[in-house]
Amino acid sequence: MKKSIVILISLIMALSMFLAVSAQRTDLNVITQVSPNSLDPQKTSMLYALQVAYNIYDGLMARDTSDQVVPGLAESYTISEDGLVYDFVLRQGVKFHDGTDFTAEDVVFTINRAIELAITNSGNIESAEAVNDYEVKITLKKPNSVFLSILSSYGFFMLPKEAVEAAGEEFGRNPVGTGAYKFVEWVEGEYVKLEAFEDYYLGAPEIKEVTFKFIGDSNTALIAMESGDADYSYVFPASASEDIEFNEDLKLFPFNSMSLQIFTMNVQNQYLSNKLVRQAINYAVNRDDMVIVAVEGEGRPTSQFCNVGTFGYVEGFEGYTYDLEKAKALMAEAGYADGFTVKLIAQDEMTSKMCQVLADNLRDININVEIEMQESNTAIANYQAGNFEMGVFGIGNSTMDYDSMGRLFTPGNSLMFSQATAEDEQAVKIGELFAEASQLSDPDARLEVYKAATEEIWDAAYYVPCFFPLRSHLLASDLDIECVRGLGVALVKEMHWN
Amino acid sequence: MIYWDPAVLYACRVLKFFLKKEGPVAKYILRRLLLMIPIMIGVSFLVYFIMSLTPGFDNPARIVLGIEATDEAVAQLNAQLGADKPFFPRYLSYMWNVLHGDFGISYRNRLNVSQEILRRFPVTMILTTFSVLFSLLVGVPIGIYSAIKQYKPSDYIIRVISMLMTAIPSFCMGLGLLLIFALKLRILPANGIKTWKGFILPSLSLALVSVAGMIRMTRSTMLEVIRQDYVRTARAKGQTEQKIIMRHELRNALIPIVTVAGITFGRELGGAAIIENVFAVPGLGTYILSGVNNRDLPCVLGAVILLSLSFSLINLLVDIIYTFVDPRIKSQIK
Repeated sequence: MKKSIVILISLIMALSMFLAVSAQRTDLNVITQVSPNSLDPQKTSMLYALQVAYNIYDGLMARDTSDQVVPGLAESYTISEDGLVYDFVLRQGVKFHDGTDFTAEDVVFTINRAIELAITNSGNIESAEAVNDYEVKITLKKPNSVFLSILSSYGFFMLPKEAVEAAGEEFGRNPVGTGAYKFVEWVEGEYVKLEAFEDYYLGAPEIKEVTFKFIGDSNTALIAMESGDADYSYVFPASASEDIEFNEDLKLFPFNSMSLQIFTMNVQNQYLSNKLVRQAINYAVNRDDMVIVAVEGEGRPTSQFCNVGTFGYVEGFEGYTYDLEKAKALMAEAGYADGFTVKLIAQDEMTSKMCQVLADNLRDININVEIEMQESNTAIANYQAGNFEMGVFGIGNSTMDYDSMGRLFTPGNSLMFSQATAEDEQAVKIGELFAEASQLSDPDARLEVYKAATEEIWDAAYYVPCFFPLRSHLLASDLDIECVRGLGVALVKEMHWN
Repeated sequence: MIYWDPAVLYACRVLKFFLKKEGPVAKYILRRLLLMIPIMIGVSFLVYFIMSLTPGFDNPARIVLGIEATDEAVAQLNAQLGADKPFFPRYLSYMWNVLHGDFGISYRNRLNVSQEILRRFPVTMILTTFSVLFSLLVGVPIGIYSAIKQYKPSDYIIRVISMLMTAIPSFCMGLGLLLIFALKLRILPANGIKTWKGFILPSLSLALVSVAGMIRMTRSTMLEVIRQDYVRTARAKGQTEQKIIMRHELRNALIPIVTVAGITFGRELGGAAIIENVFAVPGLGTYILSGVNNRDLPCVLGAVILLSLSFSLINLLVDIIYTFVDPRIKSQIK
């Protein structure tokens, strides 16, 4: 009798152990590089803050797994004839993490706060008013065909009026949203913990607990992934991709990043003010080589400012080819066949490799390039102040639409690094073309305008666009994800364990 | 203000005690403590000046809000942070607040600077203190042994190993230890300080690099002392070898050793930043680094003031230890 009980008990224990082992994991550990400065989406634009925040909030519009704009918290919408008034019908029954209902009042509050804080893309919004509890009317100053895409971006994530007003400045440390995950805990400098929001309007997510750990050193992040301390990492050393291939427990998930790597030329400089010189530089650069050297072949060389898949991409546009003869001819025409010296600012390892390829290429047309390393905040400050000759930087596209690039070409805009002023007719013309395109609603008409803009930009040659790097994130092998948004953010609600 | 006033009251009491005691050492300590105030002011001004030379110093809002934020939002935030004030008013208003116990809020994440610093300070102190203690408790005996056994094989082995260890940068040491103990053997955590085990690898990385220096310093000082006449006299008197080492040789060698320990402490308060980064430990070093990167003035100045205060106190401690080690120094204080 005793013996059979013992056998029975051991069988039960063995069985439960087996069950425990084969039970699905419900937690996830993610590595981001730095602690967010705030989790208030209207007070930050840092990628590592968004990597957490995108899980906490939703917007009126959302992006699906192919990065297309689809209705989110708004069930449906209508746009007025003149393109100025957007009427949104909101989903009912959506709750915030603190249990309060999501209503039109929260939408109006969020939009007004965005205007008050003067966040990016809020300048064109005239007003927002609630028609009833679940309907909102948003009026624009000028028609803008990318407005729906703007509403899907982080600056317009829906915030709860009561909670934000009650928390004041502290809201950024205790975020409340409608997203799949609700905020649990934030230990500054160490981690942020989120847990699944069971009342999420699209259904409770599979993974129940997420911890975002902040690990700055890419090697340490790799070791943490290898030891099982973490399951998803935004950070890892580029040189380790081969090691990762051999490691069965890890895999890389590549995605098309929207971040364009590009050189800027200061048109106030005596040599670079000559358009022919700038064009010559563009024809002298071997973009294929640059991709090989800077990102080990993982990238798409380009002479356009948007990637395939972004609206505004012109199919079959030749742009700048690698043509040394043409470059020399242009330099001779400009009167600089003997070349000159120019200083180039590089920021980090990858950009300095880009700069070295550029320097090597430009030597062929007698331009002597002196490379100077600067820390990235310093470099950007110098570009904005016009305190440079040539520089390198990366620029993202948050709306997946060519419209976002317009700021690079608009005189007076803080992103017009190349310092073209309102006196430069071509720059003004390009700025006007972008403004025109943003007000049209017919996609074909917009594409025509963008084609014209692309031609002008190619001719004016204010920048040297180089390539779109193919980025990857590091995952544990048994973790699956459908897609990573072009912005570089992965949504935990779309991840599941195998 | 609230926690400052009791501190001032207590300081007054301590002051009265010292003045009553009239002992020369007490007066010396008091003088040194008072001297720390101009030192801290000087250090903070120097750091402020250096930061003012960096581009983006008067535009921290641009860094906080990002490259794509509107100029309007940036101007708004800059005004809020007081970053648009000219050079001297900005410094003076900061120091005025500091005198009232208010170290301001971080530009980057609006957290109270004094709270953050007091939270991170113990972490860095643990790493640095462990490292210095390790150097003293492990490095000194090994150095003594190496000096006694000069020219014997054990001396050579110790010298070669310590030279190798001095050559290895601390982050290399850190990564190596991580690979062995966290990845291969899995007995220690790879990052963070959730449990006390998390402190072992970072402290060890710091310690192993500085212990090598201490070994060589101890060895060379001991070698000098061994050749002195008073050691020969003691041996002639028939003193046991053990007592000779302890009472005569070591005690005289202690002054340079203690000096090096003090300098090591100061150096590592800064050098811990690299180790903190590698092991993802939230200490003061990474706080300053990210503060400098983000032109976050309150963070950098607050942390620098605290660090200069701790370094001054350690130096004072070292000087007091001198008076116990060497009576000749004590008599000089009068």
